[in-house]
Amino acid sequence: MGIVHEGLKKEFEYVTRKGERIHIGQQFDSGDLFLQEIAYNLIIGNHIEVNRLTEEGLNNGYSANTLLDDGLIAGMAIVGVKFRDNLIFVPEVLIAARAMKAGMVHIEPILSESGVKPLGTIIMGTVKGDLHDIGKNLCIMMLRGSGFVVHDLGVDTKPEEFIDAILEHGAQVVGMSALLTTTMPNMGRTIEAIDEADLRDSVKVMLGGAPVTRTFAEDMGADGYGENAMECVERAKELLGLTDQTEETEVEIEADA
Amino acid sequence: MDERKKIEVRGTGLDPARVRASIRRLMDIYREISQVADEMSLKRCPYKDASARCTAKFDCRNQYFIPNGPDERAVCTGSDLLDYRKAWEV
Repeated sequence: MGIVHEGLKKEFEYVTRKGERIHIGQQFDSGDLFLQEIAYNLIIGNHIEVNRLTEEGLNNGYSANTLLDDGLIAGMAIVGVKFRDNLIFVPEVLIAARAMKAGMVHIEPILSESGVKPLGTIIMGTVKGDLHDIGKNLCIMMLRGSGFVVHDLGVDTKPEEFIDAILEHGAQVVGMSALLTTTMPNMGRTIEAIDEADLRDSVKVMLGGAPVTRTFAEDMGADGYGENAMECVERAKELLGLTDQTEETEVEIEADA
Repeated sequence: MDERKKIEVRGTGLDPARVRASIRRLMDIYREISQVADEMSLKRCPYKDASARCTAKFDCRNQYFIPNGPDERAVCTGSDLLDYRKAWEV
């Protein structure tokens, strides 16, 4: 059957490499218009529709596995190709990631019910005085994709907001970002505030941002530093003791679930 | 709806092994996106979208707001050949 959704057909035309056309195209082999509608809306970043359709799909008997694979991830695969080929840029990728999150809101409880546990809870924010968030947002996209629960505090985040969020969500990791050299010291001030709130022993801190270095992170008293979004995920896993071995079993089933 | 897709119902029958494979596939996609973003950030402002509109929440010298324009977002007038970061700290 292949692709039957008109909008998705046009999007799929951007996938030009033969291997990718086969690989991504397989996700649409069933010719299911509903799943393709989800994929299409994710590609164009319509988070409201992705939210509505994913919920509707579950209510109509689609499995969480199928919605995830043939709807959400299939759409994100096309987003990745378009980004690599400079047809879209970071803002469009992040809009698609927001749509992915909107769909995952309905999938995650089912994963949980089935014993598939999150890897951990992370608080992320750009420090006080800094409004730059694109690197942080890419990190959040990747952390969520790898199975973490992430609470995004946004930009210009005061130390007390980090502390409140740690307490509210029982976070194991805090990630801070800064882009300006003038705001970088606020990372250290936030770590001090976490220490003063007697939370430093219960939470790991990782830092990132274009001007931030490993040495700076160590000097500020952080537990980890990530140079980019991929390293951010690796660091979070390291800080929580999720080694390569545990990665293999990151999707665990509760006994007798 | 394809009956094969309906074999599991909400909350039951979810295949954890399939979820694990799904997460791996998604991370492969994101890993490539992260690599491309790193490379792209050396030559293009990451806040500039495909229609050259600025998505930043902060002021930048390269922002140009079209009076009475159809879009509230500023047009990015920056050259991708220059270091855009210098324009951020206005």
